[in-house]
Amino acid sequence: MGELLLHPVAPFLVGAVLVWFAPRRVAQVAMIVAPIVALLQLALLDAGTTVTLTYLGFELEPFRVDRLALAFGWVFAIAALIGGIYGLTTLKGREPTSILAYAGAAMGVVFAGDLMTVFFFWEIKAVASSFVIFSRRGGNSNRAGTRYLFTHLVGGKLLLAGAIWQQSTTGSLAFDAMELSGGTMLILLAFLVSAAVPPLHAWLPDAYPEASVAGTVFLSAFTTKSAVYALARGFPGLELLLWLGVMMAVYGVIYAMLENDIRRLLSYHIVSQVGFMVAAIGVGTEFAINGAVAHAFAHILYKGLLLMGVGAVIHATGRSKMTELGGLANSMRSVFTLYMVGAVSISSLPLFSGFVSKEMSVAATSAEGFTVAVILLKVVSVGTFLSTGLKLPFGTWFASDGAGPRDAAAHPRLRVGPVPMSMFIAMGIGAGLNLLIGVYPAVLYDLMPHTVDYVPYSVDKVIEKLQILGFTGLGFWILIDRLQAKAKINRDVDWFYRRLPKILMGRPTPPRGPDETAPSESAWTARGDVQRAGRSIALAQGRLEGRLPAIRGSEPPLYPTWVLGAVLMSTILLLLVLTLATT
Amino acid sequence: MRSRAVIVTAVLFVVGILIDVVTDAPGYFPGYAAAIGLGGTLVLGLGSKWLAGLFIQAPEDYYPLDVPGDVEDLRG
Repeated sequence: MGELLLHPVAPFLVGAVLVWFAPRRVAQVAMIVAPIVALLQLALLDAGTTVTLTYLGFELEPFRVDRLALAFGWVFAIAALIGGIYGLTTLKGREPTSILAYAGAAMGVVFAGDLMTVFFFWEIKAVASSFVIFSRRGGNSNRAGTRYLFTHLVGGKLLLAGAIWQQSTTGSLAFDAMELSGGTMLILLAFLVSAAVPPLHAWLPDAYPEASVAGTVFLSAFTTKSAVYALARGFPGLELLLWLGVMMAVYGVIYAMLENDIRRLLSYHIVSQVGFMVAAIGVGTEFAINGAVAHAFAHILYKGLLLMGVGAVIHATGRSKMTELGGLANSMRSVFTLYMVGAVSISSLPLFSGFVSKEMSVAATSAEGFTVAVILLKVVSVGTFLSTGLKLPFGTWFASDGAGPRDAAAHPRLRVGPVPMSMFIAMGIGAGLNLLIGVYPAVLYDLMPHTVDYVPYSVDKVIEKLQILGFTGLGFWILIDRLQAKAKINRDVDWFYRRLPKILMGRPTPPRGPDETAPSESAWTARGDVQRAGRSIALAQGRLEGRLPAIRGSEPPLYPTWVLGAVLMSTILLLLVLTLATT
Repeated sequence: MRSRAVIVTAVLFVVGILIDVVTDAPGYFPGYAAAIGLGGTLVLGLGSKWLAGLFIQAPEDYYPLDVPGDVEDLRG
């Protein structure tokens, strides 16, 4: 049991409790120290370490260390450290508590050896990550966070039901590779929800852009990658996953091509890139599992860097839509440069991390003869470069204003504020790691669950990739007018639960009152807690007296609506069906 | 400018095919990588726009309860 002291969950959960009570300065220190302690613990852990215990008659394994778990543990701790540095000056309220609990829970999932422990940490992860979204306390964070929470709680219930079913049929709760059966299908479904496999993905582009700029960085690292880990552990070689992964990759990139909101665009790319990992898990060979894990590792690093880059733009300008940005390249040169390191990494440019990770997962798919899947994944890579490497940077830093003025104060449309040094440090670390992995892939390959026998750099591979990216750039040049973002939103499958019920119920769209308009520039700049509190009290009083309409975005996180009722009812029905099916 | 882009792309496409022939690059045919890059851009670029017009895109106030504006002001 002494090994539990080395469990990387410990520093995060202790830190989460500590920062709840501690002043802000201590919380800032804890955000850095907790992941560093976890990294030290990981350095001391050996594959093969295990802790078992019996609880309520169940044989549990709350701590199991092997190379697969270690690979994810390392990158989770690194991501927590980078995110902690990034958010040093912007994290507010209870956000550090939520983030540390979230990171710790993700770590707990990775080192769990049985399904009950997985479920335990899965639920903590769902609730804590929801509060990361709620913590922004603005925009649509309450509504989107509530939808996120319900989705993940339903996913958690599926996992619990599947685990119980599995225990009742096999007598074991061990979390290892599983054959498909009634119980394991529920477990698979829970993992697919968390991996954001369409059509179960809408929570991701809905909620991630609604967190704070630092919160989004953490969200991008843990939820979907915990699910990737769980799929790699539980369902390697399930061919269904190959085609689901390819579908994810294509679906995500099509929506990313259309998106106007810069964080939502990158959120769709999470769906797309996780598709590469899910596809490789579906192939299931040691080569492919290495590819999936390597890509998950690199993806956490470069996606974090991309989100940190656009987060810095949002922080500096208060704008998140490409149609409202542009002309920032000269005044935000460093941010632009660091973002582009992430953009070329995700696009698999040689010498950057994506080239040694994503190409490995595609090569593993190719090695098993899935030609159609390989061609589709290569086309998706084109779309990745097109949207994250060309469209987003063009729309955000250039667009109609060109590179813009060198002096931020001279910008014709935007007030560009300063970017904190902590953000630059975090982005610098992220960029350095992406470059290090690209230049020296052994750093990454040595962490893989199986021995890596893949040489990423050969003349053929480099020429092919350069040609693909080069002609993508030329295609963008030809289509530049048609590919620019439009001031529109994109209907996704969340339409079925956000709009369709209201249409079916014939509920009219509420009119927009004067109090419901979007916060104006003057509202944003009207700062001061006293002012805000006074306004909130006055508005709440007015609502109680029925004199004012409901204000968008102002509801408490768990507001009583048909969404709540529908989710609760569907959960009850699901559990009823499962109960009947298992008896 | 667009016609210049098309001409440059066409010339480089031929160069790409020649490079593949000279280097005996792996692929299903000479110019495979160039075709993936250019073809992928055209298919995804035009295809996604077509889908957007068909049913995906809607006005920004489509979900009336959403705050359509931008994000928090942290500029101080």
